[in-house]
Amino acid sequence: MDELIEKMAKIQEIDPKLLKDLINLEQEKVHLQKRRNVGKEILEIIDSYIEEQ
Amino acid sequence: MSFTFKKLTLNNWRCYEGTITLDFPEIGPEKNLIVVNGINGFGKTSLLKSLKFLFHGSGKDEILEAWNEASRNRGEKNLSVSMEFMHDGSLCKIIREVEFKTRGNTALGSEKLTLIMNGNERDQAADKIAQWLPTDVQQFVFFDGAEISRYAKKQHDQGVKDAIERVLGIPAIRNLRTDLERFVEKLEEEQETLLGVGGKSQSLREEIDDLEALDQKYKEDKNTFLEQKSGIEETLSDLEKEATKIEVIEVERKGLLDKKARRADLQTQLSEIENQISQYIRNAPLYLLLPKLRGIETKFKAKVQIPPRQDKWEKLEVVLKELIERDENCLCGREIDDESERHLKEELSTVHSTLEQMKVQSGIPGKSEIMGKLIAVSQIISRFGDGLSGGNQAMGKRASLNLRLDEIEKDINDINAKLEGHELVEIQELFRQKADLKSRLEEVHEKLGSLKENMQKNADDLRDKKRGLDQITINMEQGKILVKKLDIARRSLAAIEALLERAIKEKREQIEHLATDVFTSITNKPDEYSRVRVKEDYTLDVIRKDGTSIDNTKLSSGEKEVLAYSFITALNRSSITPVPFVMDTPFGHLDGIHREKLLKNLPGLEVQVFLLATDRDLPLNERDKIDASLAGEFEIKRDQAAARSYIEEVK
Repeated sequence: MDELIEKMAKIQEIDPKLLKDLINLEQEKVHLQKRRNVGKEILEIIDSYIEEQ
Repeated sequence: MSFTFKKLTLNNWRCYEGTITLDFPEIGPEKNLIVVNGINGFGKTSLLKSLKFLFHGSGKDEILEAWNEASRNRGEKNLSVSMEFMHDGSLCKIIREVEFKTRGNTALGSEKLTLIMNGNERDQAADKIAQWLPTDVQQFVFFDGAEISRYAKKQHDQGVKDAIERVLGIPAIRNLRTDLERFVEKLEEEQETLLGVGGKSQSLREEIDDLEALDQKYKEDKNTFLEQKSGIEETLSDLEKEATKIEVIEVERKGLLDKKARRADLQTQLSEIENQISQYIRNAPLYLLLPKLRGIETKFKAKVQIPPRQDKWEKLEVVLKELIERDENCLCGREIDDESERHLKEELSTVHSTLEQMKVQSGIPGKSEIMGKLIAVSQIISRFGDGLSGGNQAMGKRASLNLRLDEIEKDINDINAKLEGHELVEIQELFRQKADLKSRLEEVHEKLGSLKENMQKNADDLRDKKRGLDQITINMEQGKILVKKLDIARRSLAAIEALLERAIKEKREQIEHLATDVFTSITNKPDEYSRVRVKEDYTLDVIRKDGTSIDNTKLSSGEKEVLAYSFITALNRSSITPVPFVMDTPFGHLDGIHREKLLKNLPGLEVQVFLLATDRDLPLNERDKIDASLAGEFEIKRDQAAARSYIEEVK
């Protein structure tokens, strides 16, 4: 899966770590019936990615 | 191995009264097998249920049922199951305990779940545990071996399909796609607010709206085409199976024609033989009397030395006459006809006169004369004998022809039975339908291809327009950072959309590959079966070496278990979070060869494997086969007087 993520990230010219962080976020919430605040957490991840850039 | 069980403790759990602790031994590569032996009724399934309860709890009634009866009678009001385990390098412990409150004859249990990681109690224990081992995934890791054949069914319900995707980590990616779509929408709304009404951006936004509406329509069309494609493929697959059967039947039909030609040929030969036999019967009916005549000859030879007695000769003659004159005289089902009877009487008359002469001369023995008469009698007998020999050969041949005809007749009847319901017209109709479906499938493929092109073009247009909008936004205050976020979110969404499509395909191919490896190494028919196919809905097909698939319902119970086992182990190895594997009475329908091959396969699982086994699953004389992979062994014992089970480690 990691290889695939890296491949897709490369095509879209983004850091694979960003995709992995986003997937991990969802992985932690996937078993929850109500996934709260996902949008907010996605924003946080993207913000921190922009900052790092 | 990132997830391994270290110590299980049961307290007042079902048949295990008081506290029972199992310290599991360290496992290593190729030495991952832990066996818990126990005969029926001693508590193997209770052990399996304790794990299910530990990770995901139970219903109220099940908890009451799990409360050990003796401890309950003693007034103890609790039960618990706990497990220490290693997970991703952390020492963890889950404790699930139930406190019972009784009122009269009724009892109610209240459940408490505790999770300790590296010595610290964690909040939201249930969520964390569900993350490690989702409830619906449990069916693939803690299971009754005899029930796994359900994964070899022709169809899965949605629950099973979802659980399979859960193991593979697909739902998280799917959720991310949805959440990123919403996120992008939200950012675009912010962009719209920032841009305000009118201005240069207005026409661009209108164009974007149109392109998005078109994209939505394309997506709907795509779903419709995909549904059509899936429907056609499903029907086509059924027809292919039917066609395979029919191809076999067509071969049979050709065989039938050959057999009918052979039957006609044999019938001609039989008819010829019948004629020959009739000829023999007409020409030599006396061979029926041959044993009697030989008797006469023998006795006559004896009389040459000992003077004959008149009454003996007369008796012999009576016998001959009776044989000829009795109505029921027949030969091989054929009555002696008039011509044969006349011939018979003539021959008898010759014999009679010869015998009479010998009687007259018997008083004056002239040896050479008597011998001459004897030769005459012998010649008659010999002539009958020739008739007998030729007739016997003909009748032997007739019997053999009849036997072959019977066999051919049976084959013809069998083939006719197989062909019943497969009239030529129906077969032609089936092949017509097949061709029609293939052509419709090609049409749908073409539509999908052209739709894909349109979608791509539309997406490119949409992207360009949005870039145009972004260019306007970027020049505005607050616009730069918004555009940056939008750009990253859109790229992430595009990557996740592609990832989802590829991940589902690749995971399915991975399972297919792993399941094929396991299945072909375990099956008793490695020369017949080539691979396992995992279809889009995760149902399974076994493919023969000639490329045809086998209807799973035609597999034996043992083969279904092997197929399901291959699938489950492939799933376990493809899982994003591998979990110890616990199988209760795993080899229910397997023969010795399957069992041996399966045992050899278990070390390859790369997770802890627990076998809750009876002596039928692991017979004493086959224990040496697991020695190399055996990390530890336990035995469930039973104090029958106290009605309690307990577990001892086998040293």
